Parts: sequence; structure tokens; C-alpha cells
Amino acid sequence: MIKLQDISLKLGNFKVNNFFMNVRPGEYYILLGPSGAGKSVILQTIAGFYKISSGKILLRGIDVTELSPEERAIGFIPQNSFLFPNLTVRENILFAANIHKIPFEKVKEFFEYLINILEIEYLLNNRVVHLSGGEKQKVAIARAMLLKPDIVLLDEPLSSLDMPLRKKIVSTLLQLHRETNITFLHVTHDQEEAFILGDVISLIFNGQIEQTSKKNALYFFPRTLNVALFTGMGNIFNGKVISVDHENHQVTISYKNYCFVATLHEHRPSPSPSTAVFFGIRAEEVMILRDGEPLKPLLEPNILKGKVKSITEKTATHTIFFIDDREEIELEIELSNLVYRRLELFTGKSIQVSLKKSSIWISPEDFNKKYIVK
Amino acid sequence: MKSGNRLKQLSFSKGLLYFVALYYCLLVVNAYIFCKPCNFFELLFSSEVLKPLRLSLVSSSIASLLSISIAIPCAYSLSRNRSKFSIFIDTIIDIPIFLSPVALGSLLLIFFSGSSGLLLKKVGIDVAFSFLGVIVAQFSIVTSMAIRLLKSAFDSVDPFYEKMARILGCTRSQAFFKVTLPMVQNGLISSIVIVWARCIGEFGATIMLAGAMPGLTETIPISIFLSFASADVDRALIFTGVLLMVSVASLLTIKYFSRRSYFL
Repeated sequence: MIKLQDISLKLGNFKVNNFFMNVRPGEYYILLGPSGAGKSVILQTIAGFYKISSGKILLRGIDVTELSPEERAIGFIPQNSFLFPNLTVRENILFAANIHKIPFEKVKEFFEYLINILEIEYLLNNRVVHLSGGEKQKVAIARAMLLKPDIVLLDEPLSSLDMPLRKKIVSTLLQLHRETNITFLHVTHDQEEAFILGDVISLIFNGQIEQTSKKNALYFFPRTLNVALFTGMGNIFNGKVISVDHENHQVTISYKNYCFVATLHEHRPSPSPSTAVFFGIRAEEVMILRDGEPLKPLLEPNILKGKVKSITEKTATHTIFFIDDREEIELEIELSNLVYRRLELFTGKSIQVSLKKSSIWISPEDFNKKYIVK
Repeated sequence: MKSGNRLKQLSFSKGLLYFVALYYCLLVVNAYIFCKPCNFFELLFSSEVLKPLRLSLVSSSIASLLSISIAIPCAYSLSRNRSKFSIFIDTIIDIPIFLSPVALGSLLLIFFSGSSGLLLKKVGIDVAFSFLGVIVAQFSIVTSMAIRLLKSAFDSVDPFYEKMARILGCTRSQAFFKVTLPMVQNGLISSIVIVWARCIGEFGATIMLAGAMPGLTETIPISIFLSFASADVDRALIFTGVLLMVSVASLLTIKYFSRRSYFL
């Protein structure tokens, strides 16, 4: 539906080189990345706001590289709504219909569907300056979708909203996507938003996509260090492969005076012995062993003895900072409040932790060279 | 102690502000109370006042209309293009604002009475010492100011509004007329009023290029000058009163439009 083929462009000091992207029809596609990664530039380039120096932009299989924004027939929802302040809410929503001289009767049904689903009927005759941030963004969604474009681009539409409102609009966007089957390309820096909304997520850094996956694959199998860090891999170490056991699908990694065993996953590339690797484990995957509890065979190889260095209390969880007895490894452990209370932890308490081998993530160092997903 | 000092500073600045306002009021009150122009209203509607008034109104309306029509696209272009060349053009456009009107008038006179003027005369256009000269002088003085004022108005509109209009189906010109121009409406009206008031009060460039010919190029400021030259203070005060009324009316209009916003 949206295909970017080897596009390059330069905006001041920011460059995008040889960028590829492919969004399938009806997909909710997320372009996720930190601020300044070039997400909005890509989105606005698809909209026709920026000219590319080379490559092709294909929408619905048609080359639109040279077409102006009005000829691309797409919906666009910007970060700050950008409603026209001299018009009322109704006039804003009907703006595109008026420009295309489409009589109200022809858009009436979808107009009513949109105002019902977005719950903005009571606002129709208001001036937009009287609206709250959330109301403005709902009107911007209705305005972008009125003519039922088959592609809608969303440029961080929820970033300026508070959490309850964000949750509400997220569920509305999901409903709109489900009921209209429009292709959504959504740009965000918020992981949670990306994981709730997206069918497919691309992670972008410095104008390049580093990984495109279904959401679970992105979370559990990050392909690069950047992706691992961005998706919240709390514990990352720089180790060396000692041996690879293809029969039992496991690899042994050394780090300082420790050896860890990790499972080799089928669809992950296998590292070679003696190569340097990054390996890590998510904070919520580290297990604290209860005193005297018999060990399950799966947990046996990667056990560390140490103590609680500090504890940070959050709303629904506690973060435990663990340090081993040799003071070589520090780990971040995320526990639900319930588990935390059961374990009766306190600073200085001696504990044993286990790194489940199937939860250990490995990425050869040379994987962290930038690569292009085609 | 600190708040006491702040209070003193506040009272001092407030006092200074009132003093300046009082000073201007005093100038006007002094002129009209102590000089007492006899038969104010009789003179106000006499032909010797109405003629320069009509001339001023016509010339300033034409000059304002012309300058605003040219200033809108120029200001828009300056506001949206941020190249090094546009900074250079921006500086050139600003020169008439900083140049003395008499100096600009002398440049205009040299231009229109030289070979260019002769060329224009051959095709029947006589600029120097004519009514057209009044319009040209006023136009030359106010156009750069109009561009500056309108550029500020266009600068206040985020260009992304135009991008949004375009993605919603507007062509470049539709985006300008349907989105940008309505959004600068208040700034545009204020600019028209300021430009028109400045045209009415224009003296230096007008007297240099068009001269001071009664009935032909005698605008209100020139009438004030001529009245004082012939020691007719009453007549001069009537013209000054007319200019004062124009200023007050213009200011009220500007205040009204600058306060009126989309909130209303």
C-alpha cells in the first residue's frame, strides 16, 4: 500500500539515505523511534511535504514521487491537531468535502459515524480555540478521515495528551482501524502506544530502520543493541562465546568470572565460538529464588548469589537492584508488588537469582552495524 | 525591603508613563485652548479645507490600495522563504523605513525628473509636480512599511496550516486564500489602517516630488505647512485637528482588530 524504495533526502543537517519501507493494505504499521530519529520526516515525505533527492514513493502501487500533497489522496493527523482556528469544529471536519465540492449528503453517513465514534457531536458548533487538547485531536482525526482515504498517516497524534485521554483515543483508533480497514501508518516514540496499536512495528534510528517485526518479536528478539536498549532491555552485558551446542540448541557465554548458558532460537542467527556478543535479560525475566526451594533443571545453570543493593518503589511494581557477591554483575529486577511483598525483600538481604536460559537474548557485536531492511 | 524597592520602581515607571501621556495631551489642549481657532466648524467645512482633505483622502486611498496589493504577495514570499538571498532582499525592502522621507523624496524627484521621467512623459505619464506624484510619493513611503507589517502577520501563522490544507485537497493558491489569508485577517486590516493613516500624514517625500501646488498637490500636511508659512495658525490648527481625528479613528480601529480574536 505504501512502499518507499531506496529514498534519500536531506533536511538541513539531517539526512535519510537509502530508506526502504513496505506497508501492506489494511495494516496498522508503527514507525517507532527516539526523538530526532527521522520518523516525522519520513511521514511528511510520504505526505508530499518534502521532496526526495532519489528513490521512489509508491502509494497503492502508483508512483507518487512527483505528485503534490493534494494529489496523493491521503489522510494526515499531525501532532498538534493544526485545526483551522477561524472555522468551527463542523467546518473543520467538512473542510476537505468543501474543497472537493462534495455535497454534505454524500459524506453525511460517514460524518455521523465519525462524530459518534469520536464522541464529538456536542462540539460541532464550537470554535476550535475553545476545545481541549484531546477534543482538538479527535476533531483532527475526523477531519483527516472524512473522505475515507485508504491511507491515513498519524504523526505522534497522542504525544501531547494525558494518560487517560491517550488510552481513550488509542481504543478509538483501534476501533476505527478495525471497522474501516484503512491502512494506518503511525509514528510514535512511545513503546506502549506502539505495542497496543501496531500490527507491525519498525524501529528507526538516525534515519534508518533497524528492525521490522511483529510486536512480540521486537520485544523478545531485538536484532540490534539499539533496539534492545530502546525496548527496555534493562540488563545488557558484553561477553564472549565459549561454545555452541547445536544438538541441544544452546550456547555458553563467558562474562568476567561467570559462564552463562542461553538457548539458541531457531530463527535467530547462531554466533560462532570465540566471538564477542552482547547478551542480556529483561528486568521482569530475572527470577529471585526462594530459600530452600528445590531448583527446576531449567534454572540451574545461571544462578548468581548476592544481595539487594537498593529498591525503588513504583506504582504497580518494585525495581530491585541486585549485586553479586563478587561485585562483578549488577542486575535490575522488576517485581510486581504482590511478589515483592511475598519475598519480604529489604536492602542488604542475601538472595539468589536465576537467569532463565530461554530468556537470555544474544546479539553478535557485528550485528550492531547498521543494516537496511528491504 | 525588597518589595518596597519594587513598589518604588513600579510607581516611578507608572509616573513616567502618565507624564509622557500627559505631555502629548498637553500639546493638543494647549494648541486648541490657548490659540482658540475662531470659527472652527465653519472653516472645517469650507472649500479651502475640504479640497486638500479630498485630495489627501483620494491619494492616500489609492496609494494604500496599491501598496497593500503589492505588499501581500511580497510579505508572504519573504515570510515563507528563508534563504540568504531573501535576507538580502529583506534588508533592501527595509531601507525606506529608516531613510528620511525628504531623502527618499529627493531620490524620487531625481528619478522622475531625469531621463526616466522624460521617458514616462513621452507616453503621457507626468509624475513630478503632479497629483500622480503625490500617489507615487505616498506609495514609495508606505510600501516597505506595509511589507514589514504583513510579514509579521504571515510569520505568526505556522506554515504547517498550509501543509494541512494541501493534504486535505487545497492547491497552493487555495491554501493561501482559504487558510492563510483568513488567519491573518486582523493583521491585514490593522496594516491597511496603519498604511492609510501614514499616507494621509505623509509630508516630506510628497513635497519633494509633487511640490505644494494649491488644489493640485496640496495634501493636509502640506496645507499645515503652507498655513504656518503664511502665519495662518487657525487654518493650520483645523488641518491638524483633521489629522488628529484620522489618527484617533485609525488607532481605535487597530485596537479593535488587534483585540478581536478567534475567541469571539
